[in-house]
Amino acid sequence: MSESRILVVESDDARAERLCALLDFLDFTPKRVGAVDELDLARVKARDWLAIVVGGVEDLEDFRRFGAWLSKSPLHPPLLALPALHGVVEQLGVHPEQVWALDWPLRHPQLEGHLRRASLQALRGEDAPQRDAGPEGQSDGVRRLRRMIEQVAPFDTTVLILGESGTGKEVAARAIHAASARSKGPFVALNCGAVPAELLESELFGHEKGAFTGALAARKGRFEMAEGGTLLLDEIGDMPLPMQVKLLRVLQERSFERVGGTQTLKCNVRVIAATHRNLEDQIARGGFREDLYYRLNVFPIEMPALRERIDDLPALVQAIGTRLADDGRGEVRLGPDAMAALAAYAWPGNVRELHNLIERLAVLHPNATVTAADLPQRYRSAYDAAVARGEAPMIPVTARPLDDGVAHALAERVVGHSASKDANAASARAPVLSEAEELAAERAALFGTPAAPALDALPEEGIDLKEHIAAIEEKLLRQALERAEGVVAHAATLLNLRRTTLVEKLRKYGIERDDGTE
Amino acid sequence: MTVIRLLIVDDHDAFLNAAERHLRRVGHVQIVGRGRNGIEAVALADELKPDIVVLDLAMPEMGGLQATRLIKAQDDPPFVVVASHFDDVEHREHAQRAGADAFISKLNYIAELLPVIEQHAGSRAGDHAPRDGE
Repeated sequence: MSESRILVVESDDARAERLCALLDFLDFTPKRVGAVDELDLARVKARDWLAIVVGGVEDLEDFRRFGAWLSKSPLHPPLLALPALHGVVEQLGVHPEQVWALDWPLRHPQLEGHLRRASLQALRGEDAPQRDAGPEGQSDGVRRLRRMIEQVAPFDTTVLILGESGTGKEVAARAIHAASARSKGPFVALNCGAVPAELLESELFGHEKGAFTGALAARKGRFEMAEGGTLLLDEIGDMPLPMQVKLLRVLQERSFERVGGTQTLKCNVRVIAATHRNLEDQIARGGFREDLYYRLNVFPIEMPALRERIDDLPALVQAIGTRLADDGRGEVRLGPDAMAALAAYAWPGNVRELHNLIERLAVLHPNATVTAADLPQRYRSAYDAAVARGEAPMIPVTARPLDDGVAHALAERVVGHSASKDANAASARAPVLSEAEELAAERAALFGTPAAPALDALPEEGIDLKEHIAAIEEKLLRQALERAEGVVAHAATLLNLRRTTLVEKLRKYGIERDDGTE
Repeated sequence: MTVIRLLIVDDHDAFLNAAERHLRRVGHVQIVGRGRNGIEAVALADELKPDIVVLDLAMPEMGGLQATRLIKAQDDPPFVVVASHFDDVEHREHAQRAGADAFISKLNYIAELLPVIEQHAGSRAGDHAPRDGE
């Protein structure tokens, strides 16, 4: 793919010359052919071109075959068709949406606009390598995630996707879109954190010509682009407060105005919001509107962090490697020590970071076995340190057999290293009792009487069930928090609760927490 | 002033030649390598450890965004500048998401690149504290 490469298919020499001259002037590098049979389709890739300008076509049947070849590659470059072809758009062999009309004589802004759009389309394709794959892996966390996506997809419910960066929030959003009735409609994403605050409104809602300095022409916003489809508002936690008010209004009234516009536009868009931030904390600090939060938090989905599902690692590595090999990159093989090192790493950047690392390895070590020494330092530190101490690196505990050799080699490695340390590891993992519980246990041991009646035995005098259950719940919450060292997300995992649910419960019982999410 | 080691990557030799001619006149800039696509950029960045990599956004084989992601995975990654023919909110958003540290318009390459280099040189000369990786 190249923005600078533009294919010109034009049988008329004079017109071809004028076309190429204008493209040259715009700093593009056109390649002209008189007809598509001059191209050796075995040696070119559809995405080598940013766009294909088509003027005079003498053999439409031949061109249709070329169009069919193009269509085989997803997100192929658009055909920019000159007027001679406007009547036969359906016969060009590509999806009519990928045929964009050009006027003749050429108008510079129209051509430039089409090329800009083509460039963005190519970037979106590049940016979403996992677009249709959905979340991968077999860990409990991912299975739960897939179930939630299936559950919510068919309804137009607003979804709030929470999770650390790189956990695949956009992948989940795309999966929801793909499984919904809107799947034929557009999927549009906006990263609210990447757009300067003063431009955000016009990005979301569009603007009329002259709405502000630089608004030379009217432009659609993302809401309009997503009409009939799904709009992902990523990093919603970074949206400035004044925009939050405007967004809330759109969600409530399903209508908006362009910047500088007076006409109210209706919209039919499903909104999915995502953030890596803790919105409750932001509400408490006054950085996020509570009413918007409730509007968005209709169906929260928590993305599991990679380290919480590290037993998916071999499967993920394999899936990513296969995809890269399909794309013509070298195959990546990880040696057992490299795999063990990656399993010991904390993955702050989650699956995205893993993806980048594997692709990097495919570029630097194609078709070779990657050892731990080939990994960038940050991926080896934890493992090296553990090996130096003669300790077993932290290895994923695989609940079910993994189907590749790597996993077996990995398992051997673990056994080799960890046999003598098993006892230590087990005691380190033992639940930590709170002081009160320790005292109670001690008392029970000394006096032979239970510190409290058995939890599930009904005493003679009866009990206040609600209070009793609440007491048990509170106790378990405190233990979970303690064991998770105050990190609510981890405590929630221990309790199989959603983090948001746990936060509510903690608030209900007035339990203090150190929030480790920010 | 410290010498800034630069790796420039573009699929057009003529463009690279012109850029190199201009940059050679800037005293403290040293062009340590040239690449013609993203894959070469990743390998060269790993091998040459430049201070700054300037990547064309769109190149055959692998474009500048993907190369940015992969380069940022290396130890002590360089400062990455993405150069794009189109300069608008969406193109900038893509570059930022990929982890680029700066964005310049290709139509104004040298004029926009020089201040970025100066700024980077200043931030490195001042103290060694923040590498611009984050």
